[in-house]
This record gives sequence, C-alpha cells and structure tokens, in this order.
Amino acid sequence: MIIPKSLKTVFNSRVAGLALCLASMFHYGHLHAHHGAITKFDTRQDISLDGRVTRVDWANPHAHIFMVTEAGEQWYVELESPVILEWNGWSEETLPPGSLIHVEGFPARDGSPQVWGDVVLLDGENIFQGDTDALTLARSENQDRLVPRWPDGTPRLGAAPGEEGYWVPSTTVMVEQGRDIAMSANGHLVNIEDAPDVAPLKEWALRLYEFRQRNFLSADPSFVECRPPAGPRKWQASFGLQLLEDRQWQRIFVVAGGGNQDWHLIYTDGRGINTGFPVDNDNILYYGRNVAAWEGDTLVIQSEGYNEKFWLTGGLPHTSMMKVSERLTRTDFNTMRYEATIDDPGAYTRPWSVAWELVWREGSDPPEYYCQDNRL
Amino acid sequence: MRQVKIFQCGMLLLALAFGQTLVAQTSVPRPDSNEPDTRPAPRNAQGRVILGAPPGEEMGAWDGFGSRPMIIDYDIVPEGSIVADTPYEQLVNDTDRPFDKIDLTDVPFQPWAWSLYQQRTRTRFEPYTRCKPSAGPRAVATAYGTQFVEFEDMQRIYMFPVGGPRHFRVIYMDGRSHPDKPKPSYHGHSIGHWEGDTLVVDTVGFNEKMWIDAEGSPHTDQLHMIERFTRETYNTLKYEVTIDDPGAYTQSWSSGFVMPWRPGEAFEFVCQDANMAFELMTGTEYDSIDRSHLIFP
Repeated sequence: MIIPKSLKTVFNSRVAGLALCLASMFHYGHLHAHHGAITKFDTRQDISLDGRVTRVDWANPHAHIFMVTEAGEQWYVELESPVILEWNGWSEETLPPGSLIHVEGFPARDGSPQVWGDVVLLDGENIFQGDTDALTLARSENQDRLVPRWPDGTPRLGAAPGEEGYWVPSTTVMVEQGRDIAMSANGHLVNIEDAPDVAPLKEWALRLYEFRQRNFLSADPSFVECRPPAGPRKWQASFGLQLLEDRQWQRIFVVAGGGNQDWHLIYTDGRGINTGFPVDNDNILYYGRNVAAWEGDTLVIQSEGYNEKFWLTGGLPHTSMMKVSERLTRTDFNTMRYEATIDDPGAYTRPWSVAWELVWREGSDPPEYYCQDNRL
Repeated sequence: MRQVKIFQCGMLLLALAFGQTLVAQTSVPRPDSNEPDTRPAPRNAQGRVILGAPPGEEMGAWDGFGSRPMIIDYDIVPEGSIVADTPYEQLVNDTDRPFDKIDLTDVPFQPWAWSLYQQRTRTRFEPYTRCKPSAGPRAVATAYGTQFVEFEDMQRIYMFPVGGPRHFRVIYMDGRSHPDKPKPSYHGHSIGHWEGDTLVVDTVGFNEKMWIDAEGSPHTDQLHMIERFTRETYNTLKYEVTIDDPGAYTQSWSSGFVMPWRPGEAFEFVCQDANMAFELMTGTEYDSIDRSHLIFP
C-alpha cells in the first residue's frame, strides 16, 4: 500500500491521529499525493478482478493495464505515474501481455469498466507497489550545509555550481494559513461542511468551490486539458520545479516538473508590473505578469494579470482581479520557505495567506513528465 | 495581433478535429528579408559566438515560422490537408535556402518508414499541433521563435521555444557522456560542445511518441541525432542535422535550414489554451486507445 508521507502533512499534530484514522477508514491513505485518482474512483468501495493482460499503456500521467476477464469483459486498471513506478523499480516489461493477473482496487464512480489498481498480483507477487516518499523526503543527508550564494552574496535559488537538484513541495493542498482541515492529498475535503473554513470565499465562490468539490474536482482544467496549474498552485507542481537564474538579463525562468512541464518568467530588472512586458496589459495570462526584488535574503514577487481558465489547488476559484504577493526564502540548504498573500476582491472577502516549504531534492533534474503524454 | 495568432492556432486544432481545410502557414509573420544581413555574430568575453542577445541589445529568438521542412518534396498538397503550401512552396516562398536540404528521392527510407512517411504526408496529423512536446528540428523551428539561454554556472544551454506546448530542452555542456541506457523521452538526452563558432549537440534516447519534423519523417528509439548550430551573422542561424537511425533508414542522412533572428522577448503562449478540440486530448475513433472515460491525470 502506498501511503505518501506528504499526506500526513495535511494534518497538524493535534488532530493527526484522529484524521489519519478517519482517512484510513475512507481509504484516502491508499492514494498518491498528487493527481486526482479520487476524482475518478470511489475509494470507499472495493472491487476485484481476474483476467488476462492485453496491453500495458506506460504513459504519463498514469499507467494503465488493459485486461479481459474470463467473462470476456474489457477492463482498464489505472496505476501510478510511470515516473513513480520506475522509481520503485517497475517497468513496462514487468507485465507482459498475455499474463494472468488478479487486481484489487476501487471502481470508477461513473460505473465505467475502470479500476484503480491498489493491488496487482502476478504469479502471487504484488507488482507495481512502491513508495512515493522519494517525492517529498528528498532532504539531503547533509543537514549543515550553508545556503549556496552568488559571488555578490545573493542566495542561489538553484544548485551550487557543479551540482544538480530541484524543489519539491512539502504539501499539495491549499488552505488559509493556520487552518487544520482534513483533505485528500489533492485537496478534496473529507467533510464538505469544512468548505467555508478553507479560505475567506465570497458567497458565489464558496458555492462554486463546493460544486467542484462535490464533483470530486473532476473538471479541473489542469487535469482534463493539461492547462498550466498557475498562480500559487504552480509552487505545488507534483514533480517539483526549478528556478533558473538568468542574471545577465535579470530574469528567472521557473521551470515546472509536473503538470505540462512548462516555463514562465519572473523579471528582477526593476521594471514595473505594468510596463515592459511583451504583451498588452489587457492580455491576461495563465502565469500573469511577474516582477520581483530581493529584500535581504528573501525574493519578493508581485504578480497579477491572471486569466480565469485555471483553478487554484483543490478547486478554489479566483478572478482576473487576483494579485499575488509571494516571498521565497531559502532558509537553509535544503529548504525554501514559500509564503503568499492572495488578494482577489472578486472571489474573496479579504486578502488571505498560504505558506509551505519547498524541499531540495539533490542530484538530478525533475523527471521528464508531460500531462499530455497519454493523450492522443 | 498576437491574440489573433493564438486564435489561429486554436482554429488549426479545430480544423484537425473536424477535417476542414485551413490556411495555417501563410499568416505567420516573417522578418523583412530585404535587409542586408552583414552584421557580425555577437561574441562573449572569451570571443566565442553567443546564440542569444548580447548585453545592451534587444532580447530575441530564432524564428522557425512554425516549422521548417527538411526535405524538398515536390508533392502537391493533398485535398483536405490543413497545410496551405507544399513543402517545396514553403521553401521558395521564404527566406530559407533550399540547398541546405535533401531531396525526397535521396532520403534513405526503409520500406516501412517510406510507407509511414507517405501516410503522414497525407494526414499531417502531427503530435506537435496537438500540444505534444516534440524533438529536434520540430522544436527548433517552432512558431514565434526559440530562445537559447546559456547558464554558465550550470554549464548548460536551455532551449525555450515560445510556441507549441511551452516545453523546454536541456543541453548539457559539462562534458558528461550519455547514460548507458537512457530512458526514452520526448527530447532525448543532449550533450553539447563548441567546435569553433558552431554548437554541436549529440542526442540519443528519444521516444517514438512524437515527430521530429512537421513532415513526419519516421524515427525509432534507435535515433541518434547530431545537430550543428552556427550563427553565421547577427541575424542568421544555420541549423544542420544528421539523422542516424538504423531502425528507420538504411543509412544516415542530413538536412538543415536557416532561421532569422526575431527581436523581442518571449511572450506567454500555451498550446493547450486554445485547444477547443477536446477530443484530441482525450481520444477519438482515430486511435484504438480506449479507457472508456475521460482521462483524468
């Protein structure tokens, strides 16, 4: 069974025991930290299948086993991302077509012949199991390294020269700072009654949030159409992100690991947020217009000009009036503190803040991962 | 104007979905080709040519116009194609230099690859227009230009194509070699070095899920690609590529094209944004894949 450590970060210590107990009752603990398996599968029901494998579709975001049961029914078994499966030593060759398998898992909510493959047995061996800790427990062994710096003393937002690494978010849910709300790893509420406490939502936004939640976040444009998961959500990219500092041109490329593995720019050249952008100021964007300046060791980013075609994490709504003020502080070699204040008078009654950590995963770039991979 | 172009990309996808004819290539802006191009390529402090903008000048990118044909093909445009010009017309109508390319009859296709090439020429149902990241010449010659950004501390050059699915590509310049068994990927594993003023990039480890050019020249995961980027003048980048793929061709072959400098900073372009052809993201009768329901990542 895969129980991501990051799931536990959803709960604070006071309610952790009770919440984890509840979570396991509802099988939330089976599901991976990122992505919306819960959007599609009813984790409160069990299903088991026996049949013969016809194909293994080894593609991101999720691998699929195509199988035919003895009764001749075609079924589709959904698994983790190939990236995660490969981290755990599995491959496309693990399961040759023609193999007989036994599957236990959760059925699709819509009654279609799909199942989340919680257990896949091949000749009695439990295959495609693994640990997602590698995603979050990336902290370097060496805890006393200093923050790497540029020759002028500015903290580096990436690797020291000759080294490699990337940032992995410590959590994949978004709630107002200081709130304790039980959620699945992709921000699905355990109790829909908690919705008003997630953020200071205006009435219409609360109703929309609840609607998205009641539909298991299944219409999320970042899931369905691989649109950029923008705004503060971009700092929760499931396979991390990198900050590439182009100091000559005073701009930072933010390179996403998960989602559609895209990039956008933050300018540190002192330009105003409404000037010097190669777009019309009226041309609203996924990533908005981003300018930043250093305050001591903290990079302070101002951004606005967002479109309304994406969701914040967990289906939280926003409008094009949203302005985000973000603070990035590399507090030690392994940790980047992320704090943001979301000011969107269109959707929220007051500005509200979120905070989490980005953890340094040492020794490699993010895996090549494209949401579009398994699409036609 | 820019919104119009994005709209046209969406229309291209719509046309793909509904099989309608649409002029997609002719509206791509092109720099003035009548200007004499005598300005020398800029160099860094060490005297080596740089592929980006020098300090104090305007940022810019290498314009691929959306795609550059690698093969001179005199074929007519098939009825119902989304492409307005034949590949040959595209050659003679732009600032490109046909002599850098290979004639279709000289491409050493294996029989299966020749059949697949012909089929792809008819359908033009290419992955890049469906927001799939694509490799080699297809990504180099993207719409709205490709920025080459050198991160000296990292000993890497990144390629950031402005058009397409907003993907990026890493070229390792630190002297590392390829992994023994590279995991097949969209961009492959690229290592580069400078030979004089030419950036030479060696790439292996491609997957077979994308096309390496807009024409659909087939490739396999045995593909080994060698690319040479030479900034001949300030405004001209010569691109040469050698396709070494014993899985698809009887011998290696080479082609190339020339891209002009397009001044201006990158803007946000997201292929998925105008992708109203929803079924292209989730599957249609064109493909045998059926997961019986919308695919939620």
